[in-house]
Amino acid sequence: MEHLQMMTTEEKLAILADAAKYDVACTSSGSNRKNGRHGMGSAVAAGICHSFAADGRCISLLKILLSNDCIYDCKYCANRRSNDVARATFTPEEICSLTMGFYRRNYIEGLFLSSGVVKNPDHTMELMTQTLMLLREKCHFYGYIHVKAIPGASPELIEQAGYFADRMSCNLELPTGEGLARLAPQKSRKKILLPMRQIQNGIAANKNELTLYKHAPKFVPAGQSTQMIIGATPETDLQIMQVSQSLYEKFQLKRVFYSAYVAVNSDSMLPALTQRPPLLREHRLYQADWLLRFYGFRAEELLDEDHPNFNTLLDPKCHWALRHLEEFPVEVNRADYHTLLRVPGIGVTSAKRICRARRENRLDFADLKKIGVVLKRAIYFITCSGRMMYTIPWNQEFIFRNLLAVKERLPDLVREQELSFRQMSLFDDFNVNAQDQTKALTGQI
Amino acid sequence: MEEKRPRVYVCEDCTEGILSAVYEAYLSRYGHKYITIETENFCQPSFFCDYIQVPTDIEHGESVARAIMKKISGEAWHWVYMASMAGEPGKAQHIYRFLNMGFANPEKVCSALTQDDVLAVYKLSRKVGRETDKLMGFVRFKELSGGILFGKIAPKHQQLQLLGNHFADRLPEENWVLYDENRRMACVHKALGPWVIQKDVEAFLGRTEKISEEEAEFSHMWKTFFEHIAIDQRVNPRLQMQMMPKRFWSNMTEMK
Repeated sequence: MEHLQMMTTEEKLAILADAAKYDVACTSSGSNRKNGRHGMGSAVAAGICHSFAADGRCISLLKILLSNDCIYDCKYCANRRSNDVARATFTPEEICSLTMGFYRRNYIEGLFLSSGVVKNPDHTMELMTQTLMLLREKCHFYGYIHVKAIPGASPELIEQAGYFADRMSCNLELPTGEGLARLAPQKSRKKILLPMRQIQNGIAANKNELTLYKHAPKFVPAGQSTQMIIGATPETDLQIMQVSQSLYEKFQLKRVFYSAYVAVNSDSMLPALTQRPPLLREHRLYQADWLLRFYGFRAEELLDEDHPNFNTLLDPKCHWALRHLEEFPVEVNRADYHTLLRVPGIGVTSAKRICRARRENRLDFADLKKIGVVLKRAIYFITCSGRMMYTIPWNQEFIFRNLLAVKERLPDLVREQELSFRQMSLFDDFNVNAQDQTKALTGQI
Repeated sequence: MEEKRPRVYVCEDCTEGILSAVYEAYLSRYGHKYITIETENFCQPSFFCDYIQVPTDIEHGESVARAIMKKISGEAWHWVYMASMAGEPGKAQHIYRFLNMGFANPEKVCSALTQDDVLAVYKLSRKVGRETDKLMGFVRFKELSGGILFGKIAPKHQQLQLLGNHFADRLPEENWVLYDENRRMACVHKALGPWVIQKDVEAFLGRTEKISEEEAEFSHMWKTFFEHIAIDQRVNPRLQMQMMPKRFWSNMTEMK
């Protein structure tokens, strides 16, 4: 303990930023708050990225743990009790000074405060709540705050934190209860879902309050999120998407984050230390997550028991479209918004623009290009005034091979790393014979 | 009838300047198709046109702005305002043609994205907005010895006005100066007051080297945080550069 007292804020910052970095969520979106004429800070609905770290991830918030002195021993976690790592604990004052100093220089959009469990959940949550209170009431900080709800902490403490924070989150950690029981025996699914439900109910009650009293204090105005680790346990993509879907529907979450498992510990129950994070899988899950939230897809449409995992070669929407050719081609000048959204190459923005522009005049392919439709993908699935752009053989194999030739913009790390992982299941999907496979992979059609 | 000689109205590169030229162009009744508007910094004279210099008139500019809001729509005004900040040639002409269409067809103009000038104005406004979004995050202030916060930017488009509003709301109790290196102008904000754009700030710039005692400490801690927050197994410089283009780096504490 003597040594801990001697540590400078900067040394603690190094340790506790390191300890916090595996948490993926760093968004500052969902709150819109104009400043009064005092104090410091405001919030912008869309969120603001202040920097990008060497791994290309956005840095929006000062993402730190209050402490990494954790009593738990979760197998996958760098801060588990049995690991020999440097431990540090911030005082609430230190966190306030860092947040204010960074915010004033426009380094950050706010604070993301999480923590290992110090002594017990209540003690930890109390320290966190105390920090937030200091920030809001003494420092008059009106920037963004994202705080973790510590499972097992008393509901009163969580509620109190919710009135100071913009967003709260409670990590699901692993997609299924069995996985959790194996890798994080001190945590349980039930304990994690409890605060999640409490926050959900709190937000709903607060909405009613706000309609009655405009100036009622706001409870978690930017909603709650969660994250799960992908690739540490053997769940299929279908299982994961179904979990996300029910979280969105039953818990009204704003976001579910997926975190490709980064091997930091060696353990017989974990994938080998040499395994690289499954980034392409994470990428596909995010793509599918978008399809759930903004495109009106359901998990069961995208995957089924026979094909429980996403394809590595095609994005989930193309994959779905190829397996449902009976729904295409779609007539751009007539199809409704929701049908347009399901066409590969048409996104939310371009679907809206199409609906707007076609009121003024009939659209042809040149117009679609101007509007921002990705024709490379869309041409196989749409008609303009009854015509397709080119006459093409209307079958899965042809379209599939042409779609493969369209280079998808993947993060390059993903591309080089996962090439060897590209499995053959896709080819089974579309009955492509062995000869075609090699052609497709070398890019000749 | 003899063909009219084309005219070019040359104006200052700012919202009021462009709108003043639009005002003159309408007032002249010379005919839209014979008129081009260009800002002076992008104007390349040719022998076949008459050049008319239009002085910026705030009142004329405001009356055009009011007309756009009232007769076309708030959305159209937003597009025009943002597009007028763009640092690209041809923007004034696109705005002029957009307004021609807008005053003739107020309800339809913003939906007609397939029309070149409408699309151009819309795209320009998005380009400017995207850069504003980036800069809202990438601006770095350093604290000078007197407690003033000082930040530098080198944007492609005019951003001081847009950023001024943002930071005045965010840091109302601070004295801060945001300097545009490309245009040699600064947005100056006095604590609890409004912000103003100032053109002659050379004298002030000479005094920006002296930083406060705390400054070195905080910028160093920020760099420490920046290094430690990246996950080694996921390092991806290309993605980083794509999200945060190199042209911003020279003014960012952690990238220097």
